[in-house]
Amino acid sequence: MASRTIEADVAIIGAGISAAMVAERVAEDTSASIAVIEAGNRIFDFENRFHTRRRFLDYGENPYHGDHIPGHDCKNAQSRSMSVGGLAMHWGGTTPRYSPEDFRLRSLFGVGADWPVSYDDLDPFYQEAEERIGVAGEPGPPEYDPRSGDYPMEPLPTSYNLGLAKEWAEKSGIPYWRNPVSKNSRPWRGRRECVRCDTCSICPTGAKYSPDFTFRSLLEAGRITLHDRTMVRRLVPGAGSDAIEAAEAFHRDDPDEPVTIRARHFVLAAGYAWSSHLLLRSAGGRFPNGIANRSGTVGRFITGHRWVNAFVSVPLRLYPGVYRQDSLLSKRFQHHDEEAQPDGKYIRHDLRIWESDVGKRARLRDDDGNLLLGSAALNDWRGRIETGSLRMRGYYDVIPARESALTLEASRRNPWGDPLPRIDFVDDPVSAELRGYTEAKIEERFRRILAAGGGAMLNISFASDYDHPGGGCRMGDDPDDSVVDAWGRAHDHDNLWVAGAPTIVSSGCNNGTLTFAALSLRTASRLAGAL
Amino acid sequence: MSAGSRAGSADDARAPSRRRFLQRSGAVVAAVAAPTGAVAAAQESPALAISLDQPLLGAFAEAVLPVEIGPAGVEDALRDFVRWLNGFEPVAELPHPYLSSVEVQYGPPHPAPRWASQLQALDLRATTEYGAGFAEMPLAARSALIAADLERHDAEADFPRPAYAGHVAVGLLAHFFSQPKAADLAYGVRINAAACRDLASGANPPAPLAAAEA
Repeated sequence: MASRTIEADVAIIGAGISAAMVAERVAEDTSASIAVIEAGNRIFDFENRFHTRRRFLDYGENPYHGDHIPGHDCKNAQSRSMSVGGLAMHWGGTTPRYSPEDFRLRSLFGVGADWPVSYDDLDPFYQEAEERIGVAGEPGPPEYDPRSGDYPMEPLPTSYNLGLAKEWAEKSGIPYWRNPVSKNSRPWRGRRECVRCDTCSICPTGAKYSPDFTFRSLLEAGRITLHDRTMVRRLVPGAGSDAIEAAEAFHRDDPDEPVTIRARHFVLAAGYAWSSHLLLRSAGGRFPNGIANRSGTVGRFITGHRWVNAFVSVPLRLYPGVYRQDSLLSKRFQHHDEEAQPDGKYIRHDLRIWESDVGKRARLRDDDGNLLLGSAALNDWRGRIETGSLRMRGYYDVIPARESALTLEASRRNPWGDPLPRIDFVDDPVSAELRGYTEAKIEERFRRILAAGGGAMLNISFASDYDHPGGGCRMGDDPDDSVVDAWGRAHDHDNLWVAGAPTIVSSGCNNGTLTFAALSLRTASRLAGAL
Repeated sequence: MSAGSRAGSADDARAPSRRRFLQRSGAVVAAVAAPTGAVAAAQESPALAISLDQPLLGAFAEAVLPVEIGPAGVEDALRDFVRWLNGFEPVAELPHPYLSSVEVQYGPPHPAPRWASQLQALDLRATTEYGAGFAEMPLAARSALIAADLERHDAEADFPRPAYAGHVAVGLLAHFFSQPKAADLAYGVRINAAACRDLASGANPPAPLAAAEA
């Protein structure tokens, strides 16, 4: 049987934002050869994005053609996307940091676990991530949103609608500020200034960061090799050694031809689901529970947060459609104090506000069920837009249980016969007990804002699933209770590293991508030193 | 480097057969609907001429769209609708946003065959019940006939995305009201949603329509 071998100093498995950060940093700090291995396609179609955006707007079509692998999925995962660039191709580009409190839950609140790194440890890597991907933002109040350096770019100008929304919301006494974004308020690292196309999931100008820019740049500089459509099935430890000697893979265009990847160091950057999946899939020999799994925690402590979402009618003349992507953020209730956590209960959440057109769209029937055609529909619309609507959201922290886990399903296999993963999210008993209280408290805080600024609740909903998930290879100082150390290095294998989302201990209350990028850069800094 | 979707790969061959069936069946049904004429707006869109009866559609649009946009506005709206319909790809793959289903989602089959048959049915009813073709009926009578037809279809209160509309009237209205210029008309200002614009301009309220057009 024919076979092919890929050799490099560093093999990075996965090609999302964490892989991009590791590849770029290691390429800058060392002369090491770097191979990036990705099961999905490379969708380097930036030149087509005005067209695909148009199709997305007109028809709702997927603008990233071929961004999944047929028959290869993870049950209950957050998204089906799998391609070079990962979920950070179609992300919204929202880049808040976690709060200092997120890293010390056990010490401060007596729940969950402390991270083996502090916010201060991560701060320089947050800054570095913001520089690399280009973040525009305004600092929040330092007691809620500390940072040691300035944002790389000044914030995008506040949209008219959001300016009014901020004045309205702050009548409640709750401070709001602009959510930072990886969208250029001026040209940045070869990418254009944002022109508010308002379709950030498919940014036609490149003003929003996505990892394809990093990979294309590294390829053009000859600093990496990129092997897309190459699916890694198994990590292989050396005989008589704990070091990872090789990775077994195949190319999707020729599944019968084995591909062997040999490297001095392996970096697993395949996201929270597929990183754990590969480690568990690699069980055998001296590692019957999987690679890096002496603790039995691979695939466990899958974490995330839930949300409470409300649409509200407000006494403001708003014009939805000017810039729907922009949002306001408040970390007031992530802070550790009596007002944020009344009654001594663990409740922490952010608050967000966007413009909305809910309740303010044209409709076919009025409130009495009468049919509206032509001018009747237009006049009905006009009669409902003297006031505006906003979307409010609070992401609240959920402490993961050990049983919150990714497992392999023997009964479900991909087209190549490999068992597929499933995730079952399970709250820690503390979070399970407080769920109703937390949701009620967030609703109460929404109503406090409405009472101060005026308006009415149109509807409210409560998430059932975890958003912005991570974990499965959590970091820790104790090898009996964690998969990797504080630098992302596997406790069990000196030359195996896990980058980004899988390593997080808990998900806090904010979007996770910037934290994943910062952790990846921290891992890369230590890896570079080991080369 | 060009797009990485690699059409025709081994993976693509595994695409669901239902999708392929719906794509083919939509095309076949659209092709057999007989053309009977054309309006000015549709003459620029020959593909539609094989699926929807153009004079009938023009008369239909007049009865469904707001009177205040006038004949030119109706013609513009119809031209946009026809262009949109001609560009529609049946059973297209939908995005995989956060928290979407792990199952790959696909859009609906082509609505044109369904809508064409509804238009023909309206015409038949007009002929049978009123002794004149739909296009020859007075505007108010056309509107009443459409409203009665919609009530039978149990149309929902909120507009769906146009291609999901069960009835051609809902499809046309949903398309019209989803266009940025419809929102501008309702609000009386030039919001121009979904247009790329310079960063600073979004900080101001949109200009009134009259001023924006001056």
